[in-house]
Amino acid sequence: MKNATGTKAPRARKDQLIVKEVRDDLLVYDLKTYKAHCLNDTAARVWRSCDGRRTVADIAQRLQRDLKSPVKDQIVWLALDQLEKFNLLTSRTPKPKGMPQVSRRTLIRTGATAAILLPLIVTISAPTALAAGTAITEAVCRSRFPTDVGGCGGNPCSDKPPKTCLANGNQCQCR
Amino acid sequence: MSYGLRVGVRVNNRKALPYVLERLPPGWKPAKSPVVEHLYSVIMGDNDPTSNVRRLNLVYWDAARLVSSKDWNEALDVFESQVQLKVAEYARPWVFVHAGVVGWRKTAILIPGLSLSGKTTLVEHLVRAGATYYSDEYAVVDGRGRVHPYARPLGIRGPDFRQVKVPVDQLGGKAGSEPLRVGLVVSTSYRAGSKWRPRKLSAGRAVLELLANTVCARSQPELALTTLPKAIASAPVLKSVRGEAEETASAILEELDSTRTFAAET
Repeated sequence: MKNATGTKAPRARKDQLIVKEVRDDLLVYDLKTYKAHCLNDTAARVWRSCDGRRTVADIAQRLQRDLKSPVKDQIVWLALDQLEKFNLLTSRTPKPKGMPQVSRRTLIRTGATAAILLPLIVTISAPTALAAGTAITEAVCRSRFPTDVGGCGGNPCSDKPPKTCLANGNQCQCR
Repeated sequence: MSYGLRVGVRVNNRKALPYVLERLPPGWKPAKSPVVEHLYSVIMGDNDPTSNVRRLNLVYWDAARLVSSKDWNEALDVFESQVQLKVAEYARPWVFVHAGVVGWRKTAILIPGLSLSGKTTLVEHLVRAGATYYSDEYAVVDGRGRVHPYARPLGIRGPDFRQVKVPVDQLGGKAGSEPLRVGLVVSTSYRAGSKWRPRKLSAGRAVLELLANTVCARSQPELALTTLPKAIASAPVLKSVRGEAEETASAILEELDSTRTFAAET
C-alpha cells in the first residue's frame, strides 16, 4: 500500500495472530507457523505504528515522542527488518538504495542509542504436545506414527541416550 | 476422571487391573458418568514362557493400536505415557507445563525444562532441603495462575538413564496438597562445572520460557497465553545454567527468601 506521498509504507499483519500484552512486552503468537514472538517495548511500538500510511520517518518521530529520547530512522529500519523476518508485516518500505545493513551492534557502537531502546524480538517454536512431554522409552517411541499430530515428537529416548524419537520412513524410532 | 477429563480403561483380565491403576495420573478418581472422552483397552497377553502359544500384550486407544509387545511392563509404559499426555493436553481449564515444582513457604518454585535437563535432580535436592514436593513432571496451572500438585513418585534416573520411581517420603519429604501462587520460576539446565549466575528475564520472555514447555501450546494457545502471564504475575523468572544440584537448590531457596523479604520491607 502507498501512502499520501506515494511511498510504500509498512503495514502490520493482523490475521491469524494472537496478541497479548505482558507488562512492557508484547507477545504475538502466529497461528500459521506455531511460533511465539516476544517484542520488547520499542519493537512493539514500531509494529503498532505500521498502519500502511506512516513512513519510516513518521514512525521514528512518533517513537521519539513516546520514548522521550532521540530516535534515528535506523532504529525503525532495524525493527522493520526483524518484523519482516518473522512475517509480522504484510508490506514494508523498500530500503533506500545504498543504505548499509543496520545491526544492533552497529547502532550501539556508533552511540546511536542506548541498548535498552533497541528493538528486540525473541522467538520460540511452540512445542507439540508430544515434544513438551517427558523423555520416553524406545517402546513408547515405536508406538507413535509419523502421520500422528505432532509426528514422532522428537522426545529424548530415556533408554537410548542421546537418541531422540524421530521418523524413519513410516515408523518412529529412537535415532 | 483426572483433572476434569474422563478417560475409560478396560482390561481383558482382572489380574491386569492393579497394574493399570498404578499407572494412571496422580489424583485420578472414578467418574460418576459412564461417558468418556478417551477409551483405552489394555489386553494382557499370556506371559507364560512354557506355553507354546504366546499372546502379546496390547494397548489400544479407541480403535488405534498403540503397542504390541511381549513385555508387559513395556506395554504399561506406553499406556502410562499416553494417558498422562492426553490428560495434560485436554484437561480444561488447566494448563500443563513440563516442569518440576516444589512449595516453599506457601509459594511455588517452578523449574520448567526439557527432559534430561536435570529437573528431577534439582527437585530432589530442594525436597531434601525442606521444600514440599509438588511434581517432577508437570506444573498444573489453573485459570487463576495457581499451581496444583501432580505428585507422582519422583522418576530418578540412574547412571544407565533408566528411571526408578521413588516416593517422596523416601527422600524424607512430603507432598503438598494445596494450590500455590508462583513465587519464583527457574529456567536452568545442568552443565558440569558451571556456576549458578542467574539473570532476570522480562515478563514476556518469562512467558516464552513457560510456553516452550507447555503441552497445549499448539492446541490451545489462547488458553496458554491467558493463563501463563497470571502464573508469573508476581514472580521473578531467573535463567542460568547450573552446576551441582545441591548448591543450586540452596541458592534458589535463598533467592526466594531474599525476594520475599525485600517485598515485605517495601
